[in-house]
Amino acid sequence: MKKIIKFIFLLIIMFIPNFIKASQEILNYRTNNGIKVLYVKSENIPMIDIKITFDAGSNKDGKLKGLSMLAHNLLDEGTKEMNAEEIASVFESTGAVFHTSVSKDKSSISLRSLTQKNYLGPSIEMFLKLLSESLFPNKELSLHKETVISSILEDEADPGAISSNLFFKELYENHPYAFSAQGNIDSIKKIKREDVINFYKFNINASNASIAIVSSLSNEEVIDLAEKISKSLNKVVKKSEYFEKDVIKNAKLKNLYQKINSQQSHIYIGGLSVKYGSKNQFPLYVGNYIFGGSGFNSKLMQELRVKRGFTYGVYSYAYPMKDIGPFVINMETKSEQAQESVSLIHEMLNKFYLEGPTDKELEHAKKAIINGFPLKVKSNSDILNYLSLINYYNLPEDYLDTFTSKIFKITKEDILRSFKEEIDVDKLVTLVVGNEKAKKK
Amino acid sequence: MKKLKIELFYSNKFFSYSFAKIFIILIFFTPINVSAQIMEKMLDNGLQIILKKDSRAPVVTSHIWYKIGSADEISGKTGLSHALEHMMFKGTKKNPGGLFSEIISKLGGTENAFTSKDYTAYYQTLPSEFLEDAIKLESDRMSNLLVRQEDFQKEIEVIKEERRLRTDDQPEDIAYEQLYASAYNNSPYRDPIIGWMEDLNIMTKDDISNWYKKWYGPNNATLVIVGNIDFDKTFALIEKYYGQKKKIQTQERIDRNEPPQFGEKNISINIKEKPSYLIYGYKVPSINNRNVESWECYALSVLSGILSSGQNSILRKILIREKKVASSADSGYSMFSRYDPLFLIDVNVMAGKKNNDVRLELQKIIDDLQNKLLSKKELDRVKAQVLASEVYQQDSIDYQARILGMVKTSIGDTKIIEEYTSNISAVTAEQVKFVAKKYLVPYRKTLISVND
Repeated sequence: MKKIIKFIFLLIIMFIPNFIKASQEILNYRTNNGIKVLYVKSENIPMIDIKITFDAGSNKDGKLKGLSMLAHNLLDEGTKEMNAEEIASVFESTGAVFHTSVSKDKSSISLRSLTQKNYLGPSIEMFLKLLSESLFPNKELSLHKETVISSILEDEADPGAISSNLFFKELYENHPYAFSAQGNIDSIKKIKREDVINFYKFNINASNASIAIVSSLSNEEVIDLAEKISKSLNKVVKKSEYFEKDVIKNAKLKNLYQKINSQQSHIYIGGLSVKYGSKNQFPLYVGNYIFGGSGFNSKLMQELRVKRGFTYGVYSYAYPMKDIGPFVINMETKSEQAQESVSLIHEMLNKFYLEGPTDKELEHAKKAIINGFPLKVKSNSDILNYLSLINYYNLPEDYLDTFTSKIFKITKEDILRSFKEEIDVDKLVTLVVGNEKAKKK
Repeated sequence: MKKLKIELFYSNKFFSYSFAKIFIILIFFTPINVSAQIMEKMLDNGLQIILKKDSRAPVVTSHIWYKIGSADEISGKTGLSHALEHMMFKGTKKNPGGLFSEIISKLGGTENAFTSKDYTAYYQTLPSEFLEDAIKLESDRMSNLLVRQEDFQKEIEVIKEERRLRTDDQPEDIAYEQLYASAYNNSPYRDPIIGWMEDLNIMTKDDISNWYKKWYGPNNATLVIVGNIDFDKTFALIEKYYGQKKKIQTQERIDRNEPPQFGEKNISINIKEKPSYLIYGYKVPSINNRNVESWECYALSVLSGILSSGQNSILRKILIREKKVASSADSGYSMFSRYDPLFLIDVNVMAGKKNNDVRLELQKIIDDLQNKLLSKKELDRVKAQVLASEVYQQDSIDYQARILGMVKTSIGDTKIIEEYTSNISAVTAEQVKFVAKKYLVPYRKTLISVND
């Protein structure tokens, strides 16, 4: 069934617990043409997960918003010898799953397959062909453009999507992060086959890729596979002609209201936070975990849901990205109490900003995060995502080993400092989207 | 668009996820490898226990499933099971307020709960060394829940916000709710899991505590634990905390059988700004239906796969690629429901196209399914996907626990999971044609058409 795909960052992919290293050996390999490969062997299930990650998210769209997503979605729509139906037929008859995804920073192309030879052979062969021989046919391009436009129109009837898109537009203004990866109707209409081919050539290539694999195969088999993948990728080393500008950390105070026909109002409050790798990333994570990042036990949830019955859910996140990521608080409530909720959230944030967490809250959060490590890598797909993250952000060798002690050492002062240095509470964007009753009097 | 189903499955970021739509997703992800180590037992007080070993990581998931859902509710009292699920997080004498959640979180665990038409389930996933804490806490609230007026007053407002968020402001969910309410005259599947807002407005604290006393006890529950566990030790823990629980007086469930329908029901609804959308429901049997042979259910499952599983499925191929009348299309059928369910087809109409364009094309598709035999290739395509997903599912312990809990609660026998793949493999082209002819017919059909 169709469902809204809301722009929510997955908080869990932020840290790589040391558990991986403790119990799973990571094979570190570099292909002949220089692509970094990380592999974890997981023998119990006869399956393989491959994820190639590219620095080719929607921030590389340039003026043609939605280009990256279109290019990725068209990968399995035709090669020299095969049409879309024949391609799908190979994957479906072997039970393999081909998937692409595009976020604001990175993109990925993945395959999940059984490792039994008669299944793995054809699905891998097809996978490699798609990497090297995709034609992005015109007919399929125009169909995809139509379905994307329909999907954008669906979003325009969805209060969650409307408010989220508007918030990021106001927060990031001209920066590529301001735009939805899906694009907008005008930009989608302008995209031509040539644009897609160029995007692929300059962004989805060997100089821009890393590979993560989790499977029951042997090291030798995986190395062989990685070499084949790297050979299938475009060699063009020329850097993308699109480049992203650094966010100038110049947040602006904005108080906005957008009227729509809905029962509930959607509230977004936030500003800019940090880049991936910032020294404040860890304390900010722990601080936010306590404030609004730990679900039911967070301060926001306790106050607004448990104590007041105002909302089904309220949360916050400080998400580090390649460029400066956002700090976001989001909540939905009936319009009559939207403005009261906004005031309450501001009050709570100001208080947290000045006082930080209590000793008890901090101790609880550290225990929860440290104890909870094994849960974050309990499945092959979890591990795969972490490997791809290590690759993408080029994390240091000792990152995993030092992780627990880093969390353990965080003090209240660290949290207070990190919030002060990274989040400007006097310059937040506050957005309320809802019916007239939600408007400030 | 690709990957919609997965998104939905993982979307329950907060508590109390109503499970209606997830049902549909389960169909083709159902089987798991039961040849793995598994143990089933029952305590003297009637508590069903299913343990399954998966030692890949030092974690465990512990689920308790109560056989009580919106299908057990009566008019004027809809939403009770789901509201009770919310109140279950309000504490007991021993563990007052939010202490339960606080402890689980401190141990590094996650927890949640969900209510469906057929059941209500609670779970904790945490490092396996802390399993005892989870069992201890969960067993406590099986019989010692405190339902206090001040908690209820606030929580019922949270539930109304949940309804606004998930239904009233979601055009497709309104259509879905209207479909069930229109299709059924007597079946308890008529009413929404979350309840009608009108009923939520008059619900009382006493309604909740009576519902709790009536249905929560060891002989109406199944405990499913999957993960890095030792069977004997785990069983001893369960006996320690659940062994003393007293049976509740078993409640008789009233059969509310659906009377015959006299023709197709076509309903038009209008929802501002929503692009055109159609959702079809055909009345079909569950595997519990004694009046039909079980192969019909497997054939209906294959039929759903033929329609919507994968890029080459008929709905995608014809409605989206060839005719370009839809931007997305899906179908769903869950044979593992307690009562007879609906076979669902839903279609988002392509911008610039009309609902009627979709209706005409879909009718041609159905005519073909009723009159022509599927090729072996088409059948094999669906079967291969079922076989593969059987392997892929072993990657998630939560998923394994969900399937076991759901089947045990709604069907009563988990053997059916073991046999699922071979029963799907045995489905023939004739059988698919037969069920298409028998079930995709006007006197079983209801159509909700949004913004014609």
